[in-house]
Amino acid sequence: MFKNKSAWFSSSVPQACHNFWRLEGGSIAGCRTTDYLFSEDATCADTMRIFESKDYLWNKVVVFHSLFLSACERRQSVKSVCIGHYVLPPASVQDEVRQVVGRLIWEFEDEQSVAQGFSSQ
Amino acid sequence: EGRSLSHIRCAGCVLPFEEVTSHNFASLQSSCQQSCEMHRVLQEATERFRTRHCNLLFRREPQDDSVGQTDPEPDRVSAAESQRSWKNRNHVCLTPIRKEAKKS
Ligand SMILES: [Zn+2]
Repeated sequence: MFKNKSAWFSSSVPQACHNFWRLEGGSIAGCRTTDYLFSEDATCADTMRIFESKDYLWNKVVVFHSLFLSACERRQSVKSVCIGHYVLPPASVQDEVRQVVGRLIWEFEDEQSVAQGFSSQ
Repeated sequence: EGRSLSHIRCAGCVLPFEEVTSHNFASLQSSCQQSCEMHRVLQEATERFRTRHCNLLFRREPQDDSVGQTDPEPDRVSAAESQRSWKNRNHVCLTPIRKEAKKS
């Protein structure tokens, strides 16, 4: 699933996610050279360092929520999981999004996949 | 009616994993003409975060034209000093640090 892809994991990401990534052919890399940055906690020190880095401030990098990997594992596929729904922003941004939309983007994704069975149209 | 969030999907929503990395997502998303409400709100809030923190960054690096114009020696020392401390503070930083001051 993740062949030829590399990932960096925040220390907040559970070991099970690392294992799944490697099991599916993904490799581990440093946060400067990796394809994907995964974190579970925007307030974790290593993740906050990324949010404060110049690359982040200049819109050159995003962090993804490791729930993306859980969703892939659940569906046994990356194809039906929208990675764009798993962008993990800094905590203050999360608060702003919650205030406007009521929930965060990955919470939205979870809800949506549940709702799909029920919604007509 | 019928315009519920879940029915609007923008490029940020439908980009396949194969085409997206942590490094290109932001530019793919911002080149997309019409974002869904979720991504629009996220983008705007993230933009405000960036602006806030860029301002903080520049306040932390005060070595610009206004300092040390008459006395270049201490300026050079303090610039090197600030570079060092910046490096220490951000040792997991994604790019090698280059001084952006000292231009034009
Ligand atoms: Zn979207």
